[in-house]
Amino acid sequence: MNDRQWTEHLQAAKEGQEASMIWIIQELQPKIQASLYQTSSVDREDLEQELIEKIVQIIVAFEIKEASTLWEDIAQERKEESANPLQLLSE
Amino acid sequence: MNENYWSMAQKQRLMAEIRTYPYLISNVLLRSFFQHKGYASLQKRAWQHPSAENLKALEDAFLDFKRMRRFLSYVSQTLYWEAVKFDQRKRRYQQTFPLIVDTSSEDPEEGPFETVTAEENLEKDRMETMASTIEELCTEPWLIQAIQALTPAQKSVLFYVYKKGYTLTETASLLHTTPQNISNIHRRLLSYLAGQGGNGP
Repeated sequence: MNDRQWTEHLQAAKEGQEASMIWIIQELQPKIQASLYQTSSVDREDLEQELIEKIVQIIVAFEIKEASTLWEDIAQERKEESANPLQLLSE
Repeated sequence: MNENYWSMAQKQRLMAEIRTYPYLISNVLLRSFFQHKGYASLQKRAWQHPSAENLKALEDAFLDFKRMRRFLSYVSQTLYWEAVKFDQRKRRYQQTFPLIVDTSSEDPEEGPFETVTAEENLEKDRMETMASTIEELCTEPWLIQAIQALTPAQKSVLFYVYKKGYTLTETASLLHTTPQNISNIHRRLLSYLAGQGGNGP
């Protein structure tokens, strides 16, 4: 699964594996390229360097562990949606 | 969170409820996970055979799904705003420190420097012509002397206002500055000349 692959590379990149870091940056290239249009063509090379540096900082600081599980999210959903037919089904 | 917090029965019941009406889920992340085709087989397995193994596989898949959406969303937002801030920073810098050529090149083959030098010479010639014209118009020795001591900007204002007969606004437009600035130069000019000879021009 693609999300699994992302998680594995993210974990490895956080642990300092250069290949995984490069894989993530390459996967994010379309987003980087789209952001470059925010500035003039002469400054795009500088901006690209800054954005890649920012991505590396995000990866290093990113918290892999999720705050809530699937079951907690579903339970929260039921709690918030009191008028939801889902709740009626459980009764 | 302790993984055993939810009993198998609870998980199975939640799974049954959520799987029946996935389009009614208000949580966007949860809804997109249950409507995601890539996870359909995993959901079906957990739905038809809600064993601990299948439910755990579904739960892990959801965590990966959620983690990556969170990561990509954060990265997208950050890249966008970093790019916007970068551009603002560049523009501010260019406004504060505009690119100007302040020295001429020793190499005569460099085109842009030649052009700039030529333009500067033209401007210099124009200023010299203007100054000599103003001085030629004067008959009073004290006034000629006073005009020679004027700054280039004061000479320009004197020439355009008193020789050409332009208004201060027109002069400002010709000299690429503000009428307020020309008015200040004009006032100082008159004050200076009055001080030099006792009478204004």
